[in-house]
Amino acid sequence: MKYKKAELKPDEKACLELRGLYEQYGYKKYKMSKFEEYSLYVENKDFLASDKVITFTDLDGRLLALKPDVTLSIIKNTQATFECNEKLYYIENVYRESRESHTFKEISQMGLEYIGKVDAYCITEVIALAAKSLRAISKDYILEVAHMSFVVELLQSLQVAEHTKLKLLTLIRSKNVDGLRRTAERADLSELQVESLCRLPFLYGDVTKTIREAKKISLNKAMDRSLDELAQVYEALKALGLAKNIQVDLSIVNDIDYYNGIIFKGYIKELGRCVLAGGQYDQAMALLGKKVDAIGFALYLNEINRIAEEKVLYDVDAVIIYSCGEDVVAVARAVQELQKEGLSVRAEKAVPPNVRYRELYRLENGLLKKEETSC
Amino acid sequence: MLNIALPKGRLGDQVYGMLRDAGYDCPAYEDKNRLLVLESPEKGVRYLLVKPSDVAIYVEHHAADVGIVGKDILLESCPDVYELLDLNIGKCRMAVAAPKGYVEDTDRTLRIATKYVNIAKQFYSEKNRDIEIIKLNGSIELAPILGLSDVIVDIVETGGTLKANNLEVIEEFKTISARFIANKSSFKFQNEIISDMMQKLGEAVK
Repeated sequence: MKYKKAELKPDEKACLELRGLYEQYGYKKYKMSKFEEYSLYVENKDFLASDKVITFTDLDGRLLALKPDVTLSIIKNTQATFECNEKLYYIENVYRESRESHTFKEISQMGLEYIGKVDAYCITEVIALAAKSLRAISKDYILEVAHMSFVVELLQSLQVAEHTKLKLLTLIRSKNVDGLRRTAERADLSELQVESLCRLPFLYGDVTKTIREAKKISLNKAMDRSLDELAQVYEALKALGLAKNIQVDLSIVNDIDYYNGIIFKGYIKELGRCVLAGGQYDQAMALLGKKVDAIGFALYLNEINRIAEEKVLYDVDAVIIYSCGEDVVAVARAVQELQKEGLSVRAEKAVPPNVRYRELYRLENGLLKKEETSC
Repeated sequence: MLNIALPKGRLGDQVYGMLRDAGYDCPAYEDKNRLLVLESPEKGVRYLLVKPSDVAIYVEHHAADVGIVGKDILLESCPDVYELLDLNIGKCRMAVAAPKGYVEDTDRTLRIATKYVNIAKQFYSEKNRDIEIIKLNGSIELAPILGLSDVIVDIVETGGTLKANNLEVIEEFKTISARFIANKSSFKFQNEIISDMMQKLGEAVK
């Protein structure tokens, strides 16, 4: 007997589709333990979005944490070398602080990592997969790419104090030009430097045009190089037919101790927050003592679930009412009969008050009678 | 249709004036009824009238695409939005105030009454001072008078309320004004209209 297909939620649909996509490219699913040594997060707390972690003492006295992040564990345990790349993806729950409710919340994440020797092809493959992942969720998507070196080298060249640098980073991320100008002027930067900083938030949009604009405010060779690298990846993506939804936004900056090279963020029209984020993180590998490169991204599945779906009008297609004396087999047969027509069926003694149904049947002495349509 | 979250009250009216002059007029706004959603389909905008402290929440959660909000709220809640423009209106200062003639006893925990818990915490952590914060939702000036706290941290516009209650400003540490903010996703998908609005508002500010 054929079963009725269950209605899948947007995140479940995405999961199914993307698993197929990633496996097609040779990525292997990696199942992880929910726990990790707490010390990993203490030593690398800048890598995490928040320093709040759920901890507990294991039976042997070790301090463990419920994972707030998956990538760190992957880095810690990777066996990859420059000769032997590792390609993997995961679907895991992580535990983070919710800023809205000031409590911990469970977040479901799907991610993909490429560890080993990262060359231009790998970068293109991972970004293309990020774009395809977004496309699987929504037709109206934008993948924004940037290069960490562009902003990092710009800040480096300013030679300002560490706390000013961090402040400038925050202002760049929020495209706060007025704040940038004020802070830059207070730090006694040259006119050229102030101008470069203040134009940075507007370096977004069409890739070729933006890179051309960015060249004008570039202050050194390293910044030029980062733009060339970005252009090279874009050309490849264009040739692969993915250019339409790809934009540049040079004001995207991740943590500067962990990320380097190309970084990216994905948005879909239906949702107000970024649903995908990733980039190259060779520096994080180095910080954890691994001498290989890595690039990857994560998809926030519980954000995807906020996509408004068509309203479900009925909980079940049909309800069959049967009385106490009814033969059990007759009830089961009646249920199966309707299921064969492709309906979902509930057999009840009385109509449950909280159930919305399309059709109501009554079973009396083995005879199934339709009573009414819709409630 | 672009959803604009406007703070209810004087600031909102002032900003609506700027937006009207920039070409985003909405006749329904001027009708002064009690509607909270006002549409101007031919201009492609919809105004949402919300409590000033909620504007950033509406924008961050994508219920509104752009909004106008005081910098005090942004500093307090640090929402994940683009802060595109300083509108230079609704200006005031974030300040510490105390009863006239107050001298701080640095040998004990300083008690602070405020609406702005995070701002106060951050300000005093930079000073490395041990503090106790008492969160109030209004009439903050009352706290030091009744001995509920030593000082208050609050926004000061003219200083009239402080003066009337025999308080004075000890230290000003932040300038506050209204900001034009945008949801990060909307900024990408509706960039044309948001950029246009930002540019026109920017010209009006100059």
